[in-house]
Amino acid sequence: MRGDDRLTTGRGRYVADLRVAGCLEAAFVRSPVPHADLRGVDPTTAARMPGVALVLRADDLAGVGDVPTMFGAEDAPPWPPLARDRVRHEGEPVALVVADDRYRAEDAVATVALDLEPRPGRATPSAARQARDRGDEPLYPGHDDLALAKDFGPPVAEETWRRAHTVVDVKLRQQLLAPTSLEARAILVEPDGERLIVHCSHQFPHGLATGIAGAFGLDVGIVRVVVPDAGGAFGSKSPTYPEYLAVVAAARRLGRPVRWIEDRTEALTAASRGRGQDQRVRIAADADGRFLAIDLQVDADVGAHPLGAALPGQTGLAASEAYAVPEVHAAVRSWSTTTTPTFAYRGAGRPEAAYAVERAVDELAATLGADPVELRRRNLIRDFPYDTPTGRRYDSGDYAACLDRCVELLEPGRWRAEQARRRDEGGWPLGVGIACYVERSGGEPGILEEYGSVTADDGGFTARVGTSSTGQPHGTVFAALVADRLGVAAEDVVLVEGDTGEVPEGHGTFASRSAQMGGAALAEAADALIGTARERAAEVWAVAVDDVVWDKGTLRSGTSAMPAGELATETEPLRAEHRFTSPPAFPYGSYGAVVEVDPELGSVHLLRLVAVDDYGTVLDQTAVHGQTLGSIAQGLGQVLTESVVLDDEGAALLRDGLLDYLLPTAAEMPRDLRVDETAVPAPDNPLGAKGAGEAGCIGVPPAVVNAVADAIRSLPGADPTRLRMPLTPAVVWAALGGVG
Amino acid sequence: MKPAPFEYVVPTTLAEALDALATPGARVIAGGQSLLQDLGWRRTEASLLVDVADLDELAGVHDDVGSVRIGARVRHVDLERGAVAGPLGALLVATAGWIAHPPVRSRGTLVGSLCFAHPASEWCALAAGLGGSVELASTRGRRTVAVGDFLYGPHETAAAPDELATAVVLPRLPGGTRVGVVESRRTHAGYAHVAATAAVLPDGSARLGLAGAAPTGIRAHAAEAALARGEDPGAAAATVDADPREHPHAPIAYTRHVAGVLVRRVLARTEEAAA
Repeated sequence: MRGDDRLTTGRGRYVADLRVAGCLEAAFVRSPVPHADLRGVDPTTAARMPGVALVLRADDLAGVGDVPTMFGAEDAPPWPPLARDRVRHEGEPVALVVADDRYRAEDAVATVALDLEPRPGRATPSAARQARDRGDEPLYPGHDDLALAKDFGPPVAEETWRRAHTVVDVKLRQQLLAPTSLEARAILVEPDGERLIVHCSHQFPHGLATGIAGAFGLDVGIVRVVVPDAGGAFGSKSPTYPEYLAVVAAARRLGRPVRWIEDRTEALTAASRGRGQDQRVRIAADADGRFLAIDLQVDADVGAHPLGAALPGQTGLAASEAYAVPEVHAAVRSWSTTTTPTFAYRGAGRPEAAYAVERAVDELAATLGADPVELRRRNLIRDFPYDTPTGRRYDSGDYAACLDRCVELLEPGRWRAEQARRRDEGGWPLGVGIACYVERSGGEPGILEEYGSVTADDGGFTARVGTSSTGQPHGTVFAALVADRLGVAAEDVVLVEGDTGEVPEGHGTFASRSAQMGGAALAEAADALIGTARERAAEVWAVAVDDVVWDKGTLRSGTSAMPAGELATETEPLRAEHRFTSPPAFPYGSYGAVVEVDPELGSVHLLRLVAVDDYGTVLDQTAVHGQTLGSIAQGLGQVLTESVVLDDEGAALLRDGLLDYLLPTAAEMPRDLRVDETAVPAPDNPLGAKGAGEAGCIGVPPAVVNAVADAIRSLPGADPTRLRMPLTPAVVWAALGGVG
Repeated sequence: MKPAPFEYVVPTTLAEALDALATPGARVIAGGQSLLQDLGWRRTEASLLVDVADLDELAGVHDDVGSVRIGARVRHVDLERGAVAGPLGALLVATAGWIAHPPVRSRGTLVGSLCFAHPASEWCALAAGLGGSVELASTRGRRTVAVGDFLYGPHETAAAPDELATAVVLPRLPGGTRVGVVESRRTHAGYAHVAATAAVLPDGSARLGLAGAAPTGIRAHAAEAALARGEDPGAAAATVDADPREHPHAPIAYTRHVAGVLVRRVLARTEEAAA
């Protein structure tokens, strides 16, 4: 049994499971169109419906501040929690109905009449750019539709392109994805006098407390955010969303608990999305296939509010990927569009970069007639630390060893022989693809710190940390980590996290930072507790500190012995804190895929998938393996099936929900899946740990697309540059030369 | 995704059920695997749900001369487990396995699928392809409608609001008939993009059904005729039988092409049912 088995056996306790006396349920009236003037919201009928306690519109929230952006633009336009006079994306919240149950709340929602005067939408970065070039009124008067533009690294010299032996120029698209955690967003707000207790499925409880306090002008100390069990997040549950502020406003106004549970339809239309980039990547190489320059141009769909306008910068920062390239430049432009805001989704900018560069590397290999593995090997970074032209300092690694292990498991020689046999004797085209990546874990300046504390009392040891599990087994891994430091049994350590009333500060769980940052903070706090306890015992026994030893939770000196808990009870509480700070870490990996393609239908069949990742030192193999498998599944989702398809105005074409937005299931996982790790410790981390949460999302898409490109490249009429994610059968058929 | 309020009755006789269905706004519920979702989305309405779960007349499979009558309560899983014998049963077994996933198959029904009339429904393709018929009953009387006439368009059928589909009647397939079903689909649990069902009779003639290739499940008459003439049935299916609509992940030309490929494939892959 592991502590987290509770979650996989249906015994989790989520926001929807909380029993709070007198709790009301909320439902939102949302915009049915992507872009319109909002001339009126008529709640008269709704307010009189049975069971309805409150209907809120923008006018009722006059005293509530704007929704805070998280990785936004400096020039942030206003963002009221309920749309005031204009709606800018489908599903934008317009009014809130609170009733004694969710059924009655939805009955009332159905009666709220909206007076909408449609405006033309701009669904894509190119539509936004065209509107701007035409001089159309911007989405927000007085604010540029180009929400953010930033360059990373010096521009590549024209001379470099001219003297290069070969230049490839590839245009790509990162489709919009729906993060789709099993549990969608969920919040329950309990007013307690002036205080607020906020139960929320959230990755960053301290951020949410700050966001709520800021919007309502409250002291952050009176807002307690508690995260119960949470059913996934994948990056999408770290902001202070407009819905949360509206629910807080309703609870405060009514003086009663109010809960909102987002349903799947809301999650697919109104919750933040991930990815969304138009990309152009150029690589210059010399005659030996050495990369001379990489230039990456990104036009990102930010959506209707610049919640994550700065996130595509992660793509720009990562443009070197795993290669020693003298000149690397990225230009990232974030465009306001009439779509649901784009925000972090597992990988958050790094999958986009790896896809762009790794697809271009394969096109370069094809142009040069080079073996894709050899071409990569020739250009890999070998010496660390390595400073990239875009401003990253890669900490450590053996990229070549990782690639070698991947090739060993992939067995490309065997598949190349089969490929040749099929070309001679007939059979479905077969392809081999490879991709390398380097990502960043831990976070960026500002969150490259984490809080941990360990307390001893007569009940045992309590560890507190500022991370916040959304399903990851922190309770198991961190308790074991602290127990190991203290030399006690894991069951003697209890982990407390995800509660701003219990943990004084924290930066939450995203950017694959929990083990790396939170684990290090706890390890250091546990070490500090031993020191504190020895000092205390030395005082009590009137001996030198050096004469006191910590022996598996018991302090000993000569013939004296006292368990730490007893020492705390007899003197004063024993507690040690640590605030861990460090530069980010850089996990990396190599992925390989073998596919065959049904040449008539265009469907892609995975014959083998190989993942070799380096997460530094692994704390818990089971947890890390689960992260690898889960991120591989989501990588397969992006490359093969998932896509939020929009109409020209920006509305999602997902009539049948998850029957249209196709998630991979266990049945879609490849049967021949080979997962391995190398483990070069992180030099800046006392545990040697790097992040392990996002690898498969980054490595799988380019490996699979490269494999499909390899399969079809030599077929008459086929054009691998027409491949787009997701690789639906229709897309592959078109790339095969199908007429459509 | 909560439905608007509705009443709910579980009549025990057909007469009671038909009386209840005569109420304006009444709807039939069988497995509820599609209806409840649509009610939750509030894109369909019902003031009264009439549950057929206790109607004995709608249970089971009945053999007649030359045909098999499958009652409206027969679930996908019953057919998957071989409720019908012979080549027809083998085709039903092969087809049922493609429908959704096991939890849905344990509640949803074949007749319910025909009434839901999803364009990509395998059962609609199979029933249309075999030239089956649907039995309808109301307080106004009974009638039988050929499946090809019953399926009007996406989610549209010939059944009047007060009519209950009590059974589907499928022709018995003679011994030695070869049957098969093939699909193109993007994930195991989603809808088919296109599905093709085939029964090749001992005389060499074929009964071909297509799902996802037109606004409803259809019989591929042109493909059958082409086969009889010794021509390419795939080309006929793609250019004549198929009448697809634009789909976010499948342009019309691609869907036509797939219909042709699948008709050729299903004919190549039919198997004789085990005796």
